[in-house]
Amino acid sequence: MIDVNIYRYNPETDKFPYTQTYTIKKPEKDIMLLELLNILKEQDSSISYRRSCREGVCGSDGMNINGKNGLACITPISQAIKKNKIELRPLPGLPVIRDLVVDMTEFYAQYDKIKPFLQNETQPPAQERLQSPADRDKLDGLYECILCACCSTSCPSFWWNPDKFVGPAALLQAYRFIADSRDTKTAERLEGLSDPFSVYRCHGIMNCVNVCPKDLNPNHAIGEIKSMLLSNKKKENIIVSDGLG
Amino acid sequence: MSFKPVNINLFKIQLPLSALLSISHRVSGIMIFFMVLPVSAFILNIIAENEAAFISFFELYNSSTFLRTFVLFNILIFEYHVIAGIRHMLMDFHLIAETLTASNTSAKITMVLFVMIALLTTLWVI
Repeated sequence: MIDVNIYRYNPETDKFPYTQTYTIKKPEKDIMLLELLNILKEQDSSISYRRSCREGVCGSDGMNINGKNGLACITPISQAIKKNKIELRPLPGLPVIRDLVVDMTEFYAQYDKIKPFLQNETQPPAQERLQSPADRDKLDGLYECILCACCSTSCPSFWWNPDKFVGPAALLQAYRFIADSRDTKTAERLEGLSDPFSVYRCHGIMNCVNVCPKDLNPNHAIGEIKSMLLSNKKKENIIVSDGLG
Repeated sequence: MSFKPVNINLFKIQLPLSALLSISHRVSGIMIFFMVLPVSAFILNIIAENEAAFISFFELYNSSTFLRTFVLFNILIFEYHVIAGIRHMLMDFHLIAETLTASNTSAKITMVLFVMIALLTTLWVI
C-alpha cells in the first residue's frame, strides 16, 4: 500500500487548502504518476488536475511532486515514491484555482512580454528565410521548451516578483529569438530586458535546470543574455566617451 | 477578486544545495549590513579612542568567552559571505560552467572551504 497526499482546495466549499491522504494498493507495474492520479480519480471524482497528451509534450500536468516540480505523465511512480509516500502539490508561487490546477495568467503575461515571435522587417524572400546549419544549431536547447511552467514556478525570484521578473521559461524563449540569425530586433529585445528586474533578479541558483522535464538549461540562456547586455553597455559607453573626446 | 491560495510552503519544496547557498549568501549579506558592520565600527571606535581603552577592551575580550564567541560569529558570517560571493562572481564571469553538476560541485567545494576556514578561525579566536 502507498499513501498519496494530495493538496486539496475547492473555492466553493473550502476556506483554506488542506492535504488529503489516499491509501492505495501499489500498482504491480511501474506506471506513470498521471495514471495513478487517474486511478485515484475513479475513487474520488472531485480531484482536479490538468492533463492532455500524457506523453510529456503538452506540459499541462506540471505539478510539485515530493517537493520537486515535474510532469506527472512522464514521472514513473518508482521515481516519485519516497518511504511509501507520494506528495502532490500544485506548482508553487501561482494562485491555486482548485486542487492541482493553478492560474497561469502571470506566467503567460511574462511570456507575452518577450514577444515570442520572429521579427524581421526586411522583404521576405519568395520561399523562406534561410539559415546556415551553424546558426540553426544555436537554437538547439532553446526551442524545445513546452511552457509547462515547472522552471519558473520553482524559482524563488519568480515567487517574489512574478509581475516584474520575466522568469526562466520566458527568458529561455527570449534568448531563443535573440540567438536567431533571422531575427533583426536583437537590440530592442535586449533593451526591453535591461531593467533591474527582468533578467537581473536571476541569481543562478539552478532550480530551473534541476526541475526541467525536457532537460533544458534556462540558466545558461540567462547567462548569455546578461553577457550580451553587458557588452552592449560597454559599446554604448565607448561611443559616449568617443563623442565627448 | 476572490481569495486564491498560493502554494509556497518552504518545508515542502525541495531546493538544491546551490539554492540554499545562494539564499544563505543573501541572509549573510543582510546580517553584515545590520550587525557585522555596526559591531565592527563600534569596536573600532572604542579601541581607537586611546591606548588605555585599547588595553581595557582586550582585557575584557580575553576574559569574556561570550564576547569572543560573538566576535567569532561575526567573523564567520563575513567569511561565509566572501567565499559564497566569490563563487557567485565566478559564475557571473562564466568561469564555472552553467550546468547542474558544475553548480552543485562548486557549491560543495564552497561549503568544504568555508568549514575549513571556519575551523581555522575558531582555533585562532577561541
